[in-house]
Amino acid sequence: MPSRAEALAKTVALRSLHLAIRFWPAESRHWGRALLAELYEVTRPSEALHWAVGGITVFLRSHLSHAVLLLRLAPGQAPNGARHTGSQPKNPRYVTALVFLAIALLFVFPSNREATRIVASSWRDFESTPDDQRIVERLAASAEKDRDGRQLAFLANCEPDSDRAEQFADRAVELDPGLVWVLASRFRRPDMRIRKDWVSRLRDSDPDNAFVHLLEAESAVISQVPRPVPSSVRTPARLVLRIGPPKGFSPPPAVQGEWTRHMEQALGSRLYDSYARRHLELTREGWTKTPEVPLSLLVYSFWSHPLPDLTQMEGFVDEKIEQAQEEAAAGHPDEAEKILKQTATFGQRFVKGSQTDFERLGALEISRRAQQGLQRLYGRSNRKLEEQAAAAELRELEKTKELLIQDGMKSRSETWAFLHPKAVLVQASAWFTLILGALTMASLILSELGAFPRRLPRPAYSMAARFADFGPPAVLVSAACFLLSFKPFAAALAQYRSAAPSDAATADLVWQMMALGFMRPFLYFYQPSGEATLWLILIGILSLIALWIVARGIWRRPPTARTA
Amino acid sequence: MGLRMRISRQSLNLLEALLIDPSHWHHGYALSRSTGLASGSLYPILMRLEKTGWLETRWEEIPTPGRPPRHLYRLSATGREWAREELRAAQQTKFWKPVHGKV
Repeated sequence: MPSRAEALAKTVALRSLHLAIRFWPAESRHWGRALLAELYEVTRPSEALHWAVGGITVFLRSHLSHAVLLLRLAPGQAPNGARHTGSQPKNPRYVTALVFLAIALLFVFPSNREATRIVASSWRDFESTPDDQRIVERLAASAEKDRDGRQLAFLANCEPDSDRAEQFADRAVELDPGLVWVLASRFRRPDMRIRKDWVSRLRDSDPDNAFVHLLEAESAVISQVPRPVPSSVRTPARLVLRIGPPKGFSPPPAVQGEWTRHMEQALGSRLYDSYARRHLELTREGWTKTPEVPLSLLVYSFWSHPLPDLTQMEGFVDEKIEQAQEEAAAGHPDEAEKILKQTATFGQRFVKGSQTDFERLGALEISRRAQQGLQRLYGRSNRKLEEQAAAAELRELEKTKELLIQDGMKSRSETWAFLHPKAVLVQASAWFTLILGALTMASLILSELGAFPRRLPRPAYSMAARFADFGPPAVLVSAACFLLSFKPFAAALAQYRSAAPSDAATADLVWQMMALGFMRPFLYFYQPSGEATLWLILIGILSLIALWIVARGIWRRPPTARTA
Repeated sequence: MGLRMRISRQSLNLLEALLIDPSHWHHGYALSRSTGLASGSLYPILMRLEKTGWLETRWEEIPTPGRPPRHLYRLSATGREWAREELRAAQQTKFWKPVHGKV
């Protein structure tokens, strides 16, 4: 009489082999049955267990052989010789698997993964995703651990969540008080409140800087003037819309005094520094250190670059000119001249301290208006020599401004002409790869499931079956084309990371990415232009044909029943 | 003749056991006991021999009541000829020694 343990051992052995047989590959299942039948002859429980363990080993080996066998056959074919009627894919599964492996290997390289991330990001208008924010949180935790204030300041500029960005900025300045200027970056974020304590800290740290007083004036107004972009807008590209209040600015009466006081302080300050260079350096340094920060977040940093509100400055200069005119009309030409000269000097200081073309243009306009006021004043006072000098200065300013505008337009138009076809190629090859990949996967799955014979009419079926053969190498070629077409953009990224920080290098990168963003195929379907349309129409037609083949076969039964 | 296969000492032991009474049908458990091979080693060899055509297999026609039918094995005519050659060659190269005496 066997003991309970012995009976249990025998039962476990039998049950495990019975279970294995249920999942045994069909072509070798009879061997499993043979093993099980012998198990009934084994009397000693320990030997039975040993036999069952051996049986499980054979079961695993059978599965391995089955997998190898499957790989040697084409999709839709079984090792027992069963195959579906009609045309079948011809390439063995291992060829398809090798091609997919090669495709996967292409995307192992970090630069290629970055290319994919950037293009995918351009399809979302460079809008950040929850994954992006998780990356920032991880990097911020690491920066906090290293007590790295600069890295935290960089992440504060990249962080889309305004509350977190505020916390990062606070902590960065706490760790490194020399970074107080990063608080100014927040002024360009419409979704962020302007904290009075930040403004005070900026003023205390840099009292002679006109830029800080301009921000103070702006902060006085901002509470009264509704921000033009709702805080729900999270797309960084749209942040740039928030340049300032509408044209023809005049401060609300409630803050008129405070605003004027700050603007006067700006006018009398000894220097102008918008911290743009430091911001660019911080962005470049941060991204070089942590290249895993996605471009969708880096764009936030680009757009959060601090700038003064030019419309407010122009409004103030107009007020000063008006004030000078009133003084002149009241018989105080010296006072009028003093006001205008002070304004012109501020304009010159602004021009000298400008670190971006955008600021430089604003500065030239302010100088121009002040010089124009001076010229009129001298004209009315019959001071010919001074009038001529002011007119000459005015011409010079207008010429410089015009040149700057023309250079900017020429450079943009040349950059655009250079980037346009490249961006089209990248987007077209990316979409083509995606569509081709989806169709290939669909045809492979359908051929494996044997869905073709029952539903597809013969010609469409043959084509779809062939798609399973030529699809994978086509995807490989297309993916390689996509990665190659991205090379100029990868070069721009490398250039940005390696070059000394400059407005031009940043502008180049932004242009490259904007080109990619504007070349999104769907955008071009409703903004057609040149070769982009040609490319996309071609790809669209090819894609539609391929989709039609599959769709027609799946949803439309053949007119006559086919014999097997 | 089927495919060539790599002959291990375990395979040679099995061939020797099958050659003791070549016309007789053998059970898997009996072969395991006579060769000392565990089921995890024995059955893959049997599977390979069957695939190459050197092993004949069949199911027991009258199984013991309450038990599944057993699988039976014996070498085919070509299999026997080949097995003798292999065993002889292995003995000559001293790669293998007979377990049950001279083959």
